[in-house]
Amino acid sequence: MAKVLQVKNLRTCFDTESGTVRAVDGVDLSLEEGETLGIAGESGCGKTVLALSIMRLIPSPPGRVASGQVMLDGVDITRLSDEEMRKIRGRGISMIFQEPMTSLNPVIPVGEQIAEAVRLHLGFSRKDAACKAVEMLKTVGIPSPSERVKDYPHQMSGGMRQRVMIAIALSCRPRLMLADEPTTALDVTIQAQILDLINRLKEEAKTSVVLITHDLGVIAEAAQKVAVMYAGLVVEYSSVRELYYEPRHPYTVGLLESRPGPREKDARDRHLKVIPGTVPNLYELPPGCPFHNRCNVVMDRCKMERPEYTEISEGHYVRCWRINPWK
Amino acid sequence: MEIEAYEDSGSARTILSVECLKKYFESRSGVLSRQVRLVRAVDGVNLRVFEGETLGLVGESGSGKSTLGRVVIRLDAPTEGRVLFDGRDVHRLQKEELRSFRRDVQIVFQDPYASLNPRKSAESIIGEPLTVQQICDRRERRERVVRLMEVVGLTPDQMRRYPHEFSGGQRQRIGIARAIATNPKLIIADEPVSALDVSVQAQILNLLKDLQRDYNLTYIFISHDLRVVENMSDRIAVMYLGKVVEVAQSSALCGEPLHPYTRALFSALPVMKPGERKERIILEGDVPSPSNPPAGCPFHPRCRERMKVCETQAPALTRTVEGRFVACHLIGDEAAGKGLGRKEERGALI
Repeated sequence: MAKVLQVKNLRTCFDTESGTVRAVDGVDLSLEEGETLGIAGESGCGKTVLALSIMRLIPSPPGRVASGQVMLDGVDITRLSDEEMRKIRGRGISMIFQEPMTSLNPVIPVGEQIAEAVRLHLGFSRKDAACKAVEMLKTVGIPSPSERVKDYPHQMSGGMRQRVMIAIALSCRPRLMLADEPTTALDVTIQAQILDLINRLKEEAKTSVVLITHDLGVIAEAAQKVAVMYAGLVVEYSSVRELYYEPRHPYTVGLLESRPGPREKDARDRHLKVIPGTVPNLYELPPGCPFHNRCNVVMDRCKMERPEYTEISEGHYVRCWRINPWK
Repeated sequence: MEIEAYEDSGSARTILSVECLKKYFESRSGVLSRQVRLVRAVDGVNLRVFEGETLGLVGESGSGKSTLGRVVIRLDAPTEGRVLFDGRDVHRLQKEELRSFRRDVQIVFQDPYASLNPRKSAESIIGEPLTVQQICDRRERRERVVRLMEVVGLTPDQMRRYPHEFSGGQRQRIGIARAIATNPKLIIADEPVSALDVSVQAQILNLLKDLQRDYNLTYIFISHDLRVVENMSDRIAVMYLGKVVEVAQSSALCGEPLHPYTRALFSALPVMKPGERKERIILEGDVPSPSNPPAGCPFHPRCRERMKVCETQAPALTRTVEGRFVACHLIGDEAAGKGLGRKEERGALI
């Protein structure tokens, strides 16, 4: 199958007064047509910066993509001019942002916001664009769409606003959609509706999806591939099945085990397994493996040398000295 | 009217009971509008909390769970009904009684970023209840704060730091230390881990369990996250649009949810591992607005199993044969058929 997205050794830095922070520190990923790639990890691991780097929306200064390539259908979009990149956004790549409250324009009716996208990117006339807006609202399951197009964002519930975001993102049938925590602020019942919707639309339009979330359940539900990020690095990458049933990196294992799950029968002790400590501050990253001071199987080598990103079986990559001691 | 049926709770003493509690808010549709609408945030809730247990309160946003918590600890006055703590009406307490209620009942808030005063040090935040309650003098206060910080997993040398110098998990530890400073009996934890990452969430949940064991605390644990509530609670109450629709032992409720809404909630949970397929009930639409709740059963517009009666008659919370409580005509009729008495006689305390 054709590779829609290939990210090679991507580094994004932020130059601040307290020093340079490498928020994304050498990431390699690839994604095939119609596939969903889940990106997991706790806050501050660089998930959102990775997405913004792919979109080329990193505010500069202080941010900059320091090195690496982002290939969209074989074209390196890091080298495109701003003008060319503007043409890619919308049709090539679109993005659903985390907070539908803050990423929609509060003083423009939602219909016009959808229409704007198709007018700009697909060259629709005003009239056609208005029809398209109604059609898109219908596609994402908003009742009485021809009336709701006139609504302003504050007149809608959180779930509906998120649907509008999805309608905008999908209105130009992009090759690739980046969804940054699309369901995090929503209730479980609405979350199930939205995931269902993304899955359905993805199948219809053959769009590839990058799904960023801290919720491993959401990824288990919706993705085919997973990348687990920690301190700007991908520490494990594989098919969803392999990652959940045979996780190899101690951080992945810890994340999976610390989730509260259905309680086992007659379990007296309800304590959860924990990963000690917290995500490190990127200004004060420990040398060697960034996870070593929270790791329960740490070795001397981990404190000195950063582990390499190694393929341990077909399509399964891990960044850990324990797993790959010979390199 | 009271149902004497708490086999599963053993001989546990009731520490808190909520009786026919209603809390309505007035809302105007615009700044200048004269039209006042009533928002029925809590709409006739009966609940009991037993000493030493954790009662989980789940529901989607807008179901009234936080408002219920606020009324219970007297941050808001009820519109109707009452709350009894240790047998005394919370909203009629005065002077010394109120002071001791404030000592016995504490709250941990959701957002550790917003609920700590940014201009006070950790020491004065944790120590403030001790001063307000006149529990100890200045010198002893420092010792107590040191002790409290150790108990919640902070180091005493962090005492002089300000909230912004702590991580989210650490701030929640400060909030917990402040809550247990007065040696309370009951703690309301309102979404205490919702703002935290999974690995930190597990640490805080474990801390709450340790404190409960060591200090014999009773918790009302409010959360929209069913997995977290399941892990924490002995019993769970499910709320929908200001009403309790189901109450049962945690294992029973999670193992076999009865109310169609509870079943939909569980089926909407993401799987733990890929490939674990299960039947999924996708609920249509959003939660209706509490200012304009549907007639009859509040859940009927979204319910797949609604009957004619659901559109007109609100089902009462009814005891089933197994000693669970459900507000649903489907289950109510079944229970009535098994000789549990006529419907009007139910609706008592849970």
